[in-house]
Amino acid sequence: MTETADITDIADTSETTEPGATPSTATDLAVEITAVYRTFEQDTAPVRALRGADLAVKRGEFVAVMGPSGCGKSTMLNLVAGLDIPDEGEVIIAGESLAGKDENALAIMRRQHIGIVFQFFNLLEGMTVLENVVMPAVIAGRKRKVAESRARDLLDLLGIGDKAKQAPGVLSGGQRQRLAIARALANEPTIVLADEPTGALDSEGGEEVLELFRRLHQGGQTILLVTHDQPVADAAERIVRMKDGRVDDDGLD
Amino acid sequence: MAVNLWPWVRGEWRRGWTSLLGIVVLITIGGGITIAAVGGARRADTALDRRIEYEGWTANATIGSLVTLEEMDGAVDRLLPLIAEVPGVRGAAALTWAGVGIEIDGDPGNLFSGALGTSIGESPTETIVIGRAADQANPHEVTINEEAAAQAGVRVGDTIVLRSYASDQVDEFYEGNGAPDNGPRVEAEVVGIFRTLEDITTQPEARLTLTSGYIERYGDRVVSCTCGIVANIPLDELDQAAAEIADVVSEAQMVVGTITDEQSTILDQAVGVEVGALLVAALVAGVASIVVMLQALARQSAGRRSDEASLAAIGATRADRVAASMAVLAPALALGAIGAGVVAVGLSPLFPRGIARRAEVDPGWRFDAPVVLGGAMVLLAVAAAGALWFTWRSARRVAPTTITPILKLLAARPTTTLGGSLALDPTGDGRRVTAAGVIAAVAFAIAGITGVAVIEQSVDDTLSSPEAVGQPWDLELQAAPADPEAVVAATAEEPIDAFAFDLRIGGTDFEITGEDGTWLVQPMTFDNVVGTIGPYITDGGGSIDEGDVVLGEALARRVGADVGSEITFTPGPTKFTVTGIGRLSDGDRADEFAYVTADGMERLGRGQQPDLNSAMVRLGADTGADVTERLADLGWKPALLPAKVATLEQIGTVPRLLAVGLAVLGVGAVVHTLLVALARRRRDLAVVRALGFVPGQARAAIGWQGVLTAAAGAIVGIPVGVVIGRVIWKQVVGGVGALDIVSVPWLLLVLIAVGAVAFCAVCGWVVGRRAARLRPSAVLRSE
Repeated sequence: MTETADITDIADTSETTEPGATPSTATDLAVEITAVYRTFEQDTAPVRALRGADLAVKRGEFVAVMGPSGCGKSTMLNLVAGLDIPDEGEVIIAGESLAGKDENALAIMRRQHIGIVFQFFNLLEGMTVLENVVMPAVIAGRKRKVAESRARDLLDLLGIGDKAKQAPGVLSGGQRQRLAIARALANEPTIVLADEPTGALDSEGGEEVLELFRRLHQGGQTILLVTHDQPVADAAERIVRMKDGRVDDDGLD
Repeated sequence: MAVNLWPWVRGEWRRGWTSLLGIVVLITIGGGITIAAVGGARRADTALDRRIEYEGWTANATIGSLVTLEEMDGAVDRLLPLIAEVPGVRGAAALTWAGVGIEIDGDPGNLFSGALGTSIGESPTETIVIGRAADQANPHEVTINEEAAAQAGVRVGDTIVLRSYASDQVDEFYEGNGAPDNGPRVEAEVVGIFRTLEDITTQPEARLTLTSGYIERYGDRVVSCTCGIVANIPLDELDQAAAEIADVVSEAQMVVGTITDEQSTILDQAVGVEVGALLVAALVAGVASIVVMLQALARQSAGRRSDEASLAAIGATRADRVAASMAVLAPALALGAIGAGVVAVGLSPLFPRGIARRAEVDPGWRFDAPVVLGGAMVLLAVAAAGALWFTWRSARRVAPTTITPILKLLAARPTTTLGGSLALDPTGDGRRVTAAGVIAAVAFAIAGITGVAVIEQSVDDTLSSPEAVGQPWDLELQAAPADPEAVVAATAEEPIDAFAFDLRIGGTDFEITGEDGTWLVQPMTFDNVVGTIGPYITDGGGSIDEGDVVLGEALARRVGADVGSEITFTPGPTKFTVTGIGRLSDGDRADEFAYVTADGMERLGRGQQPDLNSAMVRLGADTGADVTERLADLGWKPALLPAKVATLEQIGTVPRLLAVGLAVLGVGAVVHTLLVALARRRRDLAVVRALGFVPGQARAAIGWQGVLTAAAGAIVGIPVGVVIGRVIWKQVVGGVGALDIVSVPWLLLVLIAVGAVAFCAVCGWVVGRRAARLRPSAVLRSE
């Protein structure tokens, strides 16, 4: 990373299509979800979170998934992240089906392809800002020095380089989410998953974060964002609407 | 609580019941061991007194050695009622000594036995440990003590032959010179085996108790003397009652002795070592328990900090929050204190150990109310104070901190990094107190175990080192042989390293006076028959001339003598020059002897020939077993340690029990911390799973938490334990006059460190299964 580097340069742009372009082959899809069902057993009654959801996200695309509470948005995100397994249907990430993969294989898939940004940040509070960004790269097997170097670059680019040695607890909400984004980018993931990334932020902090996502997208980063907030969804190039566990509108028309 | 926080309290009980249960277990185990050790020390300390009270054999009036049997005639019958009337006397009985002994392998054993005759009130008794008391009317029933049973190989129900001196063998009876016994030989059944105070010492003697029926039937045909009265007096009235008895019996020239003058003094010293060991154990266990308990409470309090803001938001003041938190903990503290009392009672049969256990009349369950109830109350108070402190502190706002500087040292792998984070901050609140608490608890446990290892090794090395105990010989003659000259000749012919006689001026204690004081001592010299046996010299040289003396280290300190000093023996006065200082067993200690030359002994005796005190043999390095067997046939027995040094054996299994207790506490602390970290930092575990940790890595991180906690504990605990062990051992060994041998079992300490780390790794691995099963999506959604 040079001094003139910009956040648009830091995404994994290999095999990336131009924003808005139609994918030429199936492997151009970063995410492909086909007829996915997921039901959670609760004490009172089963909750059918997904009821045959379908979704495809091209490489380099910035997709927002919108829908009311309980429509299955976060469940779908968890399935994409390999944090949950569908009861039926198939999830394919970067051309690789998640079906039949065990917990270990799913974890390795996450290292290679997934960066996650949570609504409530989920930072490792006992570690410094820098260590939070270094951690995923080290987990993925990168050498610590390399991981630290990239982490510093990311923090600089996200405007919190001066906070590297501090505890996450001293950062503002916007800064914490920027840190979470830096962590999500640490392994140059195929796709960044963001679950209500502005939900815990004030309007200014929220706008900062959305601006970051826009710039990442410009750099070719694939982003799948879940929100119930229309202005947030408007930052994406495509809006997918969900209802009752299904994709109601895939936003392609 | 001004604000009703009971719903929150009930919620905490439901949510954190496993952690609260952990606190109950830790308080129960730690407190239970502590209370049990204190109770054990108290039980050991009082065992002897309780036994004495039980047997009631507290004072005896016996005929003086200058009084003839004729002069004594009828005195006992006349004095018995008078003694029984002395205030404080619960009962009294006439005592007959007789020249009767058990036949062992065709030879008469120790021809000396006793029988109780006429009694008034609560007669003194003996403690039958196997079988029953003899029917006093039956002349053919006897009871024997444990030592006699061991020597004769006799059990209850066996028939033995009683050999005796005839009534005209009074001189043989008194002199015990091994003359042939001409009295009646009577068959009798051993109906019971009893335990005397002598059985409790390290040097017991065989005892045989005849029935009054035997005395009535055979008394006029065997040498016997009804020349003593035994009185049963409570210990707290013993001194005054004994003084009055002395007045009563003075006209019969009888001498009054009390139990506190005799064996109990020796036993008190031996028991004192065990009591000291138990009190040290109680202290260590107590401190360890408090550390473990407080760090568990710290974890518990810290874990609730996330609720503080919510509680404050609904209007709860800090006092309300503290009160609510205390309400959460109160049942755990109370149950822990009760559990500790139950554990203490449950462990009570384990105490006392060693000699004190043999002194214990009923070594079973014991509920020592002051110790158990008092201990439980103290435990509750300490736990409540600790809980209050941590709860009050946790109700404050604190600035976030990180622990990265330390983690960087562990940053080779992400599992070690996360394991280190968990170890350094189990509750995830950025405070060091919780991690410091558990590391301190583990360090304390390891320090205690290390200290125990050092002390045990030191005891073993000291007791097996002739130089340490001042005993450069292997075998002793502990009783005069029937044919001394033959034994000497046969011994001298064996291929041994050294053979010597210990000579002293019979029964005479000399005052030895130096620059700083005076002390009583029985000067000794060795007449070497083969090779040389003498004191270990640590400073100066040996005694060569008739005016030379070598002093024990403690004796030299007491009288203020050094090499070259002049000291004076009285009676005399006779001046000697100190040529050396060292260690040599005088039978009691190894550092209070005064060793002179044979000529020097003549100077001290002023014509009186020294008496043979004992004889010693040192075997050669390559002496065969056949030689040892032949010497055993001649009457040589393994040398007895100096009595004071032998008390070290009374430390017994107490240190090991302490080590086990500390290990349990340490493991409990670690497991509790692992479980707490798993619960309180499940979000972090879920996050790293989302970042790419495979389940095994999450499990390994918990394992690393255990490893790093144990490693930190070992790094601190082992050096501290070595120092503690050395300091305690130095005090103990100095007290018994043995050499302070530096014995640090390094290999064992390495094994302790490796074992602690490995065991904690296994604990982490087992507990970590829950981390591996954790569903990150569910955790992150609920968070």
